[in-house]
Amino acid sequence: MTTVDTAPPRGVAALPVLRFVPGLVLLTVIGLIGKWAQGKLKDIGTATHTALPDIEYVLWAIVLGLVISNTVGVPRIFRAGVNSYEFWLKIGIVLLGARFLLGDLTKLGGVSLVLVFIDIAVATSIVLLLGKLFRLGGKLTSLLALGTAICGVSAIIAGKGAIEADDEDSGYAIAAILTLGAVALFTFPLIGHSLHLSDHEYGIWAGLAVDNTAETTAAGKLYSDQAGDIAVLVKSTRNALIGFAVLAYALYWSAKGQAKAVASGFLGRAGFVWEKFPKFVLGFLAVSALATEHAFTKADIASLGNLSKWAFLLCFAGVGLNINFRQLSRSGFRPFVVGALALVVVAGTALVEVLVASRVVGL
Amino acid sequence: MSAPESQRRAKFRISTDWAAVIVAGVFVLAAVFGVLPKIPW
Repeated sequence: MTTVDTAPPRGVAALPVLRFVPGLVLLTVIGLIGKWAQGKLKDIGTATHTALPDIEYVLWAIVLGLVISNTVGVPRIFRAGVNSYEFWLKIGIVLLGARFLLGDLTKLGGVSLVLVFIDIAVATSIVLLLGKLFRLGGKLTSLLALGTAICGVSAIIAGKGAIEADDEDSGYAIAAILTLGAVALFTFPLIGHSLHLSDHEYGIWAGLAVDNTAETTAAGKLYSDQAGDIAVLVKSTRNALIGFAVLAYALYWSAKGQAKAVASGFLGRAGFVWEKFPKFVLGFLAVSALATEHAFTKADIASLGNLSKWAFLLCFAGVGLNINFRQLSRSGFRPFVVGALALVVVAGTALVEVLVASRVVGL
Repeated sequence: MSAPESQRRAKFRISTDWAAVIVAGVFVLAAVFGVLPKIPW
């Protein structure tokens, strides 16, 4: 979040690891309540012969976190642990590699890559165009384009340093992307169900169109486990391109004399891309390679898959706890409108791409 | 977000990538060597 104070409270500063404990306990409790609530509602439905909706633990955990964040708030002592949700997300993604064989990754990743390139071109064009129409600053527009086209907050933070954007611009861009991520989280599953998308189609769509990785994973898992796995894979393909996208913007702003020069030569540029590359994607690929080589038994794959779900559970609780409507409302009207219009166009384009690829081309 | 805050977050992002790989790697290696306990859901 943009204005969260992550400084450790006095008393626990001496032991840095300890400051994560209260927040982790809170994430665990919320996650377990979410998981319990899903099972309990199912039990009530069965016992009373009532057709109650199967509300996924993902939704329970996010909504519970969201209610806490927007009512009593998250006290400072919990902040460090709550903000570790991206760490749990990345662990979950690495472990998810056990459920994909490299052949599947190549096939799905190859298809995704083509769709991702179209998606990035559309997202970048529309944000740059809208940025001019709404008279946003050039660097704010660049950050919004990075966040929309690549991977949300991580891309904005990586881009901010590279193009030397100021704090206000990055704050607006992050708040807009997070607000839209929260909107997408709840609207995408509804749209997917109303269009009767298959798990495969929905997973690719969510992976292409939802901006932030945590929200993409949650939006996918809200639809189904399989849709969530595919959404993570497609989103990871997008994330892997972060270095190239940030490099392009850095070169542009550097050429205009409004950002520091980027290292020249192939090695310099390669080093820049490597620095921005999301390393957890390599972990995901390594685990997938081990699965392809039959390094795991069926029971191990099930256990690693379950560990991945536990890690995601902590992440989803953190996503809810980090949605604070009062803070997000400070995102500024124009950046939000640009981001919202871009999301609608990108989601629409991605949906058409997915339907054509799936139902016309037969991929 | 203040400049030191964003820099801290950027640094945190990079380090969490590797930290996540290492933590997940421990469980993966346990599975490879056949010592991963059954994890329920």
